[in-house]
Amino acid sequence: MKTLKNWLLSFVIAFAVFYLMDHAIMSMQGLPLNMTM
Amino acid sequence: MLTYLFKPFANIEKGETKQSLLSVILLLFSIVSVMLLTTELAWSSETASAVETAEEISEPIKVAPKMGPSDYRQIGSVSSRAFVWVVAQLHLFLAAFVLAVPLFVTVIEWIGVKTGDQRYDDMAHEFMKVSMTAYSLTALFGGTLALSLFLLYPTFMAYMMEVFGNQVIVYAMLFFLESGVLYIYYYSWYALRYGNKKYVHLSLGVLLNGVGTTLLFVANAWATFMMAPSGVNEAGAVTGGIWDIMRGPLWNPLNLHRFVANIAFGGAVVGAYAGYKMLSARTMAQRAHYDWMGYTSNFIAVLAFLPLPFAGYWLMAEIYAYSQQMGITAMGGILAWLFIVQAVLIGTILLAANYYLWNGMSRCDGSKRYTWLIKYIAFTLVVSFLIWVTPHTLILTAKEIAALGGSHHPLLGPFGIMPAKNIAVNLMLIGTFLSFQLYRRSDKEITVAWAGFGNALMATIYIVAIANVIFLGVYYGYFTNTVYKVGSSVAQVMSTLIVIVAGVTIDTLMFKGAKTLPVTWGKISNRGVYALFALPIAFTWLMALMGYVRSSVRTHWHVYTVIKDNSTDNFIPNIGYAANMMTVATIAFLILILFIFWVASLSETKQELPVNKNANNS
Repeated sequence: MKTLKNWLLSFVIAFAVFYLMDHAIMSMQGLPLNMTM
Repeated sequence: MLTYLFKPFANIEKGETKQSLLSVILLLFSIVSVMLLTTELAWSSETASAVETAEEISEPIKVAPKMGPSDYRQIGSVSSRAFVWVVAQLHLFLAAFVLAVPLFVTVIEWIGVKTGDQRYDDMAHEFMKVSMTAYSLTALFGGTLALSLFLLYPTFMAYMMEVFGNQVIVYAMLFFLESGVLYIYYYSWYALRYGNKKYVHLSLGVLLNGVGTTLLFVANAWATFMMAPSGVNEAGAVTGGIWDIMRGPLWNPLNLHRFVANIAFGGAVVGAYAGYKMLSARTMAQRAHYDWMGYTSNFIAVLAFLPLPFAGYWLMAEIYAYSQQMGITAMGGILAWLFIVQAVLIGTILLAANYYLWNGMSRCDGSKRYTWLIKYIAFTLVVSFLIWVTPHTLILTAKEIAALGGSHHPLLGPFGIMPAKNIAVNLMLIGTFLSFQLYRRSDKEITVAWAGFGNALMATIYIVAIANVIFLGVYYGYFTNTVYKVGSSVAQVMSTLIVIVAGVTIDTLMFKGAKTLPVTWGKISNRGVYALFALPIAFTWLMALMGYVRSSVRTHWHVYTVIKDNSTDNFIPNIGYAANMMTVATIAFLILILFIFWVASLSETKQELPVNKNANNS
């Protein structure tokens, strides 16, 4: 159970870090994230 | 007063702080005065021209010369271009080496002071010894290059002197400073050994690197002026000051790219020295010492190599921004094949560096926990390498087009463009960093309470980073427009950097209180050491290759758009000829390096006292 919690928490943290980074880098260049292009 | 100058460090340990302070101030004063003098020289040419304007001396502004056959000379029937090509390349190889070694030597010396481990100090001193022999060779090739340029291209060089003026004297003055500081730094190694004196020695190392890096930047301005002239008008007449001329659009990208590449190259070359000494070691202790030295060299080379593709990307982006035609000549025109060859050489470097790390894991039994991952890293490296070498826009014969089924292959075509290669490069770098991390963990037994969470977090960061790199490359590279395609490559680079920063941070925190497992230096197989020889050969060849590309993008111009090349060599040679020239320069450098290694180890060799045989027999 503890292992599952570790992996879930890790995945949430990692996903959040990369999602926010993508957002920040693209919007800094004036290119908002857009999944319908 | 003079005693301070001649014995500047004599009193530091005796508590006579006033005198030692005075000696340091004197040293600084002498340095600053030399720097002021050189700056004064650089500016005086501009002041003089301003005075002349004020007095209305009507001298016509000198424009760039129109080159004719009489502006060129030859040595017998030897092509002037070929002669200068090899001499310049050898000068650059050696210069890169002697500028890079003091950079990491100073850092290693500082690590030695911080950790109190004498081995670091000895290793730094030995690295320095290797580069001392190379220093005079660099100057000899530099002198030969300057003389041959003035002999073979007199009119062109006269124009360059007209443009750069006293800046070239600044370059020469910096060399006096460089030589002076280099000799003091090397020969005072054991005189300035402990306490405050050691910090004086470290400061000399920092000063040496400051001068060396300035030298590099001054010389880079000549090369970037020829590629992207600034501070002159269309006719080539000087319109700006020396800073306008030096600070062209490509100057800083080239400064960064060469600075980082020099460190990687220097690390690779001293790695070969360590490998050579290790294979010829007579005792196990010697073998262990050189094994550790080889590992450190490889560490430096790979660490500097990881950010290098991004510096190269910036340089190439600036070339496209300056002249799209120049960029296309390089990457989509006559020189495009050479970028494929570059990918092969970079793939070789990354595979050799990883192979060395995997072999090095055998030094410690604790590495058995991680060896199962190696096959996956190797698979990623090979697949990425194959994507990187897939060509796209090439000059093809009709037969080749028929065999390919069009100008682009229907299935492999998409792998030929930059988004696919950006994915491949980032995955190779992430894979190489994973090899590093496994190597660093192989001699540790982690004991922190949150080890389970730490490992899970590190693993998910790898997984999400790889997924993010692939998503950005595929979606923005193939399904959106060009602006998004280029913009997303920045986020890809950031993904790789996040992995590296997170890896270093998490490991540093997890290694607190970790149990260290025994490491047997010298236990590595000889096959692993051969990778240390593959690295400098691939690096040297790569520098010869991309140096040719950087120079060749000017096509039929000496100074792009300002001076046309009207010599008998004003064409781009075919790729086979160019590759042969690069290889000649590479082999010549490797022979020089063997000579340098031999001389460096000669100083330790002592002849035994001859035993008189007759005396023994009687």
